[in-house]
Amino acid sequence: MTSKTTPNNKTASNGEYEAAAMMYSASLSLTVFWVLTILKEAFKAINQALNIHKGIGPLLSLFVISMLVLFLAYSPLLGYIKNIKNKSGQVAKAFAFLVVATIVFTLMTAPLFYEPVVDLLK
Amino acid sequence: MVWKELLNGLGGLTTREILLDIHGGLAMLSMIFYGGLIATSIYWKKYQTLIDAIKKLWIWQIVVVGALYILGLLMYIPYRAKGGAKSTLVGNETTVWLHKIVFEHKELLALAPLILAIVAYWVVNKIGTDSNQKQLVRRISLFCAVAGLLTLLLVATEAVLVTKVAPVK
Repeated sequence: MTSKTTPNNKTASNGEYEAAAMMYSASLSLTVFWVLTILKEAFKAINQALNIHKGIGPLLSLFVISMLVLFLAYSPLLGYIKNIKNKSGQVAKAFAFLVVATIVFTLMTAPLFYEPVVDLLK
Repeated sequence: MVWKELLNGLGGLTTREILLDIHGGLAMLSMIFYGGLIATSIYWKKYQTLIDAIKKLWIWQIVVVGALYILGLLMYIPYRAKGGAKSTLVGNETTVWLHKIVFEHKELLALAPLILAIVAYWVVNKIGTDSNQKQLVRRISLFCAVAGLLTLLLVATEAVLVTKVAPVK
């Protein structure tokens, strides 16, 4: 693992950046999934656009898009983390982000929580 | 006699029924892996060499949970088909909530264990041997295992609740 010296003299390894970038990507992936779920419920056009497989329905698109976000967002996020000035504690920050994103995902995929939002958008 | 009856019964299962059974079996297998991951992540503090076991367990968990999710998507086809379990549930006022609230949540929530398994493996693989980050990596691995297990348990509970009323055939 190569190391870089950060402005506040703390060293951060490439591995740390990569770990943090993956956690941010996962958070984004989970968030995109529940946001798209709400949008498909609120707007018929989005539901139809996501309905690429008649048997499975929009769920397949949601899965494919989320997985694409997970892997495609990784490189830009890694580049962003490497370029920001304050590099200390990136792994801890990304972990906190992942915890929040997971809790929000669990709640917002429940119709009890997303239906009121869908009603507002309709 | 009993053996013959058993073999005849198993031989009479349809491909869909076999896939459904595999689906359930994979869910239970992943729970065993979660148990292993929670234990190894806790004891990793004391036994340094557990890092390799954690990495291997997360790889296996990605394979199992990935297969579980894909099989789940395939089993969603007969569930949504005309005359399928969904039709049974939606066709009755007293059971419509089982599809609208419970099954929908189950299908959506099922993504979390897969994403968390991928993240956990990636983090452990990248910085698992970094002594400065060890404590944090341990926490991340433990969080992904506990959160993955809890979501999987919720998904399994919801699946049982629905399929008891309207089995997928």
